[in-house]
Amino acid sequence: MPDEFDRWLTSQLQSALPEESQPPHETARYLRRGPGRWGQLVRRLRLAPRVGVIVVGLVGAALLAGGATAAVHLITAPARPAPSPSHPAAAAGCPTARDCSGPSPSPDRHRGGSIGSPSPPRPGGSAASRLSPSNTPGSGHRHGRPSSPPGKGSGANGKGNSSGNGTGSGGAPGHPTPTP
Amino acid sequence: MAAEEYQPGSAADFDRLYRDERSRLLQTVRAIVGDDAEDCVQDAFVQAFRNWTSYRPEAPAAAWLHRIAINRAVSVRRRQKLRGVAESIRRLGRPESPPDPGNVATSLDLGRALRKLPPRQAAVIVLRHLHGYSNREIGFALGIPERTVASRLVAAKAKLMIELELDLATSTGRDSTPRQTPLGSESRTGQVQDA
Repeated sequence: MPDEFDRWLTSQLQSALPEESQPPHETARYLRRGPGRWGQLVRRLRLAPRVGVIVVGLVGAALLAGGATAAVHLITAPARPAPSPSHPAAAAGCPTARDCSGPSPSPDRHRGGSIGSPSPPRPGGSAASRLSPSNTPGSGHRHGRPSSPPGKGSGANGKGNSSGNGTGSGGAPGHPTPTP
Repeated sequence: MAAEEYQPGSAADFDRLYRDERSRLLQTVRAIVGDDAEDCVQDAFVQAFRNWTSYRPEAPAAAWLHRIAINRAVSVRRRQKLRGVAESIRRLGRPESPPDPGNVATSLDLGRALRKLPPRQAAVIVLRHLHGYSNREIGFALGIPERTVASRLVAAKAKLMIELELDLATSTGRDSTPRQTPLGSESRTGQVQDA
């Protein structure tokens, strides 16, 4: 690079970019737009996008986590078994256990008892257990207790051995079991 | 560059900085954005005033100010380009109007050639050849390492020479008056000599 060009450049810059006369200091814009009330408000608003990014990020992460959990649950959940031919639901003509067992989605709910009907009364007790309102059919099994020793009629307790929520109310007095 | 000390956060010192550096800042920014320089410099001072308390005097205050102003000028230049593109699109299909005689170059226009350079290349030329900044100060003002300044300066001057030659060829195409230039004496149209 020639020195001649440097000298020419230095001399020409003075005329190409002349120094301006100094305007009154009062025209300085920073004096009018200092960090007053509005300046502070603007500064606060400048933080708003950062806060927004953080909030959106957190919500997005939560949604992703929820979606992932739901997907894992769907993938790993056991397939709903079809009722076996000996299953009361099949006997009742229901294609699946769910169709007969009401709103309970879990196939395990009827594991402990018969579905939809109380167990037959045993001799000696009427097993007149009543269903509590929450004790939906199929949600538990209920047994009237066997009657007390022969000759003594005692009330079947009718205590529903419920794996659901309800407990049966007190049963009617049991009939004495005939002694041989 | 003035070797004066400024106390960060002091309003009186910032006023002094404004009086000392405004003119120089205006010259630098004018080489980048042209007529928008005054607005650009005022905005740069507003931004500098907001950050005045956090200024650390590890580099001269003038270089710090230049850094803010040059960054601002780069943004303004970008907007100017977008405006130019929008204007071109708006003019599509219309016959181009003849150039304003006031804008036609009648001499070697260094300012116009500078504005055709990339903003930081124009700034490095002005900082060195007009303000006489050192490499360290230029490096701080441009946000580049000190050892990069020399190569940046060489590249900027080479580009400027090309722009000046083009400018000269264009202007002498309209006006065949011989001119004395550093790019080649008595240049005429099509006779631009190598520097």
